[in-house]
Amino acid sequence: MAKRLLIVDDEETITFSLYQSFIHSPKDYEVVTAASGEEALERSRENPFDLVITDIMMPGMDGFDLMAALKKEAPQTDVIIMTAYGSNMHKDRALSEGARTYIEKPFEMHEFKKMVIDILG
Amino acid sequence: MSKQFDSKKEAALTLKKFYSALGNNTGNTGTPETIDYKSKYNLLLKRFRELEKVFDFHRGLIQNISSGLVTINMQAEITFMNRAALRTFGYEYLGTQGMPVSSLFADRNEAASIVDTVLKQQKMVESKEVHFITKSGEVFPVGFTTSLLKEPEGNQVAGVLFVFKDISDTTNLRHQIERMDRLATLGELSAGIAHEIRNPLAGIKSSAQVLEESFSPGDFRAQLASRIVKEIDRSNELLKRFFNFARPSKPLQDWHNVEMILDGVYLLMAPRFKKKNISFKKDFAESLPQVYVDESQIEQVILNLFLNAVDAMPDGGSISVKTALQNIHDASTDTLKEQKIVVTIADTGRGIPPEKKEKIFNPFYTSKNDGVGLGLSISSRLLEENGGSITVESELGKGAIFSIFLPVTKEIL
Repeated sequence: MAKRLLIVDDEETITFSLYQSFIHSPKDYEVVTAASGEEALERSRENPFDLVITDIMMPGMDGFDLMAALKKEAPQTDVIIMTAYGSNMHKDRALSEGARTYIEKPFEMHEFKKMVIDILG
Repeated sequence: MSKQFDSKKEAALTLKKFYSALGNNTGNTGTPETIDYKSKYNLLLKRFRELEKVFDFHRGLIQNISSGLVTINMQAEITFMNRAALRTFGYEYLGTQGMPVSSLFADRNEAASIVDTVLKQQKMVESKEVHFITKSGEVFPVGFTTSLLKEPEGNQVAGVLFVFKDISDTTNLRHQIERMDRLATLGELSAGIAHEIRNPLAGIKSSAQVLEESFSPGDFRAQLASRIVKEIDRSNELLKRFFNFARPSKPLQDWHNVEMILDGVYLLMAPRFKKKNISFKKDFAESLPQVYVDESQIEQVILNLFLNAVDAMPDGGSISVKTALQNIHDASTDTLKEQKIVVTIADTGRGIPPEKKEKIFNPFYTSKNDGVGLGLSISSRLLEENGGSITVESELGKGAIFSIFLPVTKEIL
């Protein structure tokens, strides 16, 4: 069964480009996108994901709240936090609250993909 | 006031001589008349001594007070300056008699207006801030208050008393606080803007990279996409520097020898100094206490000051580094309040015009063609984070002296 990946960001260009990148990769991932924390949680309730990659700053539920909700509702889901804030403060918090890893925007696509493959295989 | 007293004293002394002479001429057996004179003389002498005590007390007050006192007559000429005022201005007492008071003011037009207010309109001034000028031409900020001086007898106005205080320290502190506020606001703003810009940059970059991957490597479209990525990386580097300014990482403070930090940065810079024909002099004070700072952050500040000094001396020159211990006393109790290490870095470069002295600490302010204008603002921010501060003194064409103040005690930040 294909591994399920959810990309969450209110920046549509980011979700669209990541979606394109993963559906055109040789890896057979099922890629879903969401524009908010609330939408992401809804998709996860319908069918949990293996990996959720989420931005921090989003209107409404932010990335940290989404991660906390996923830890309760779908503890098997791994989370990667991404942010455009260049501060260690967010990195430390993300890792201490259970994120698998943390990546700063803008990122190198090959590094990003490697990070996902390392988790999903 | 002192002249009047001097003449009374002189009269009393003359009287004393007169009665002494009288006593000698008549021997010890005085007539009732001379005995009466003598008792009057003794009474006078007693009063005189009492008056002398009062005089000494008032003179002590006036001369030892830390505020500067200047009195002027109705022609706006100086009639008296106390010790603090003479010391501040660098004048001798006799040289000030009859000098126009306007010569104490840096701005003569302002002086004329103040003289007019206090002498002609007889309106007193309360806590006004102006700039005075010393005998050697040094301008300094003061706060002053005036009061009317009246004739001892009658209600006639005889002149005006100026009481002033040098407020250089207060003014510097106020400038520093204003600068910090400005930096903090601009810093927060930069962080917000940087975040908003990095998000679309991330979108453009990942789109360009997906596009690049979809073409074969030699395809010109792949090359164009690759150029987009490079330009985004360049912009992102600049944004990262904004972040450093806006949110410098929390200092990891520990005890360090400031000389070792300075020597370490010097070693790094030595080849560049040599290449640019810049001599380096150091004058480190002996047995200085250690400073409680983040070593790498202070290295960054010093490196930045050295780099600026090099840029200010394209035709060579010299950089002098001094260290000293500054004891800060509590003004009211005169006890040692705190100690700081002062590192001064002086160059012989082109100097900074007075109107730009405050601006150089603003983010994005630069006088260099290839500068971003973040060096000094980041340095100022880093020092603030470490419980220190930075000041600058400079004259155009005469180089610049940057002083950094570092804590020698653990401060709760």
